[in-house]
Amino acid sequence: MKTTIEREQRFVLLGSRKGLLKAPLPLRVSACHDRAEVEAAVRGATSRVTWISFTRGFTDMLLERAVSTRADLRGSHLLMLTPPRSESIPALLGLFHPVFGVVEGFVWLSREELIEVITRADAADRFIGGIVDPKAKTVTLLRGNHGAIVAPFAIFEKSGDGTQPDFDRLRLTDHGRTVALGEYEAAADAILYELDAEYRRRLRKQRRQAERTFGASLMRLRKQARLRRTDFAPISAKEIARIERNEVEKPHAKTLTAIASRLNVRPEEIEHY
Amino acid sequence: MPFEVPLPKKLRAEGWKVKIREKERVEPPHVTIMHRADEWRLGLRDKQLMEPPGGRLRDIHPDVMKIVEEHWDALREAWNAKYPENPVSGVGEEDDEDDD
Repeated sequence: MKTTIEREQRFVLLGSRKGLLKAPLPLRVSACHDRAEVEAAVRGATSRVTWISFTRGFTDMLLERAVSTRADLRGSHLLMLTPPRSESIPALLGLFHPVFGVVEGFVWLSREELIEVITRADAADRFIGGIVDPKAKTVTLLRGNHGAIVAPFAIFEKSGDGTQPDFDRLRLTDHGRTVALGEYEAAADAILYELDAEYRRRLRKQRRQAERTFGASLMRLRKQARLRRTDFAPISAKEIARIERNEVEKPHAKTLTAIASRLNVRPEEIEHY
Repeated sequence: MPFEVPLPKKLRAEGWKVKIREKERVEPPHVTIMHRADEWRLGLRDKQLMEPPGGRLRDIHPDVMKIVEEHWDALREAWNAKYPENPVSGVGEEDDEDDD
């Protein structure tokens, strides 16, 4: 399932004053503490709302208000930090999409960190919740943009120092950058790198852009010029690849001139890209 | 368990953490420095900040950097113990794929 959080996405926290946070809420986040506030929020809601209910009572209140006001909440997201009554689940699934936290055993990031993470630009690269399925041997992790990723137990390999995952003790920590399985703490970006092809592509691109070597500059310039490595004849594609990987300590002047000519720049300009 | 550099209570309370976590086998050797929701990855080979997330060394609390320096050898040893197939002294493999 692919879901995205748009820039205009708003977040509504549902919980008692005592149960909610004392710290000021980030932009785009508001809180409802009672029935009247929940009703007002439901009436003013658009599909770009993520409802975050802290208690079963507030989930019931949201459902009741949503039904009685006949608000159109389709497309708004629902995260329940406490599982709802089982009888209410079909209605919740019918009114909201996606819905997370339906079952017992779903683990969330701490409330303070959750609120901080969901509004960040890099929320998609952090995990805010998860659940372990021992039978299927999977850990399903919920990203800050509400996309889910299913990680097989096998990717949490034992470390050289003997640290092993304990799948009975899932915990999200470090503002969603760490998935803890007992004493074993897996970096979120390592999990995403292994399981999400789009994340890998984005990371490679970022790394190449950040790299300051001659080879990296040449690769950026070549891509900018929309040329392939095979477009530099008589220099072979293999040789271009070696230069881009910085395997050639000092490319021959003739080679550089030929490459630069094909790229319509002077040889000394290449490293500035 | 992660290798975590002990920090003074005050820095911990401010949200600073310095650790080497599990499952970073294919990454260049590094230590992750965290401050609340922000993080930096400091290369254990060259002491340079890695991309992503990049960032600036001057944004890391000077006391944290000082402690990292003091624990430098221990950090390198901890990485080697956790990832013996990717030691700090080794040469990282280049990414030779041509796609983005």
